[in-house]
Amino acid sequence: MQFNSVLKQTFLYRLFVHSKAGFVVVLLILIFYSVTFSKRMGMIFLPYNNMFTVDFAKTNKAFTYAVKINEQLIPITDNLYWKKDFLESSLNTYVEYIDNGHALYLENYLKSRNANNNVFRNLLPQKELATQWPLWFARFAHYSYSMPAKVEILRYIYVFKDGKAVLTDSVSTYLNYFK
Amino acid sequence: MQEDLINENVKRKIRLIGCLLLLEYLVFIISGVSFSYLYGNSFFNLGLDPTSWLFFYSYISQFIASNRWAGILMDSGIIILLLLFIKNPLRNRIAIALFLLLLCYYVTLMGYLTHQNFQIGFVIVMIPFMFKGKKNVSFAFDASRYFLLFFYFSAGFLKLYYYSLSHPEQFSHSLASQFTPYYLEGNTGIRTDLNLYLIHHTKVSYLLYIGSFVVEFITVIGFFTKKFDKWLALILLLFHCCTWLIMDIGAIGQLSFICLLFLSNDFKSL
Repeated sequence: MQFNSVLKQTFLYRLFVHSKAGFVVVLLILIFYSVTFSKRMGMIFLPYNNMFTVDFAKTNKAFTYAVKINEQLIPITDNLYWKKDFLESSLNTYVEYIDNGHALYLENYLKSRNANNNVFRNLLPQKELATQWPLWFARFAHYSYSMPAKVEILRYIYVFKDGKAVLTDSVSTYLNYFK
Repeated sequence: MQEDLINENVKRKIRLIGCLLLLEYLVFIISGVSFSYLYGNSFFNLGLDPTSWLFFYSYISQFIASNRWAGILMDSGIIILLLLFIKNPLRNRIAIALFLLLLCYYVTLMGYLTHQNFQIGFVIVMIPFMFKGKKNVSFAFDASRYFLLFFYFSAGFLKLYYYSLSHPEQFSHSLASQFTPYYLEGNTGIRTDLNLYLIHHTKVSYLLYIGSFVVEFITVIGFFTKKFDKWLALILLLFHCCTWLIMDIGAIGQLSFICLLFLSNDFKSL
């Protein structure tokens, strides 16, 4: 009897009594999340657990990318959070895109599934337009540059020791000349 | 009719949520990442999330980013709808329109930002108000509330599941990559000093990591009772302040969603 009264107070039971359609929708969502969770596909539907990351590598190194135009570094950290995050994240992904032969993860995934490229072409950036992206990045960062422009993306490697962040190396990962 | 059923006190509180949401969207605009500022961006990256596929597959997001007037129109539309929502918080059609526009914004921003961020709260916050009828609103509120609790609880649960609590140096290592652009540009201050301290003192950072686990896990209480919702809201807001301070991760976009917890008892009595 006590169990029945507790059951009747639960959200799902009350929803079932109130609206069968609502109950079915919620149940489908719960099933979907359970399946994706069990298959470790947590990110497949909205970023509900994007907050969780693990990295068990035991190292005191870190790296960051930066864009230089005509030998001048474009600063990004003076911007408010969302813009700084935009500039930092999109630059990291652009470098990965270049390093992977101008291909994104989704493109490789679709290829592995033998998906028809024409059907999914809107899900991928146009490669010809993407070559101009570094100049858009500079404008987005409110950086003025003159043409012709030598654009370079460098990877800076830091080591943390003796209470400091020490720059140990910088590697050029992208170089292009725009006229 | 619905307005007769929900008292003025509740409406006033919903208006406050609307004002907070408006402030959050204004911060997006002031920060320079709203629709208007995406003009000319030709590079985006989508994950395997079918929600983001929908807007990009139908070329909606790309169209907005390719036409300056479209971006300005979208931003203006969202601001106007938010103002209308604040004026009439129980008009569900306004909430539905806002939900769709904000979802489009979230998906578009994350696509061009090329990284899915967790601050989807500014979209989910609209869900309770999309429904007509006292009971429907109450159920939608409860569902949104459970999603919010699950959001944080799952982060804590996964920390436990993947044994990350048994790796004391893990958080120090994660922190190493959070402020590197600041070191590169010489833009240092209190937060970078704190960052260096935590990287070099793994025991202290481990204690903070355990603290974050406790905060996330404690939200499980909300699944059993609404009595402590206000405290949970305060703890989560404080948690996000600390996250910004320690990890340079801002919570703008999530705040109005968390503040729904302050309304738990009001919707309970509907």
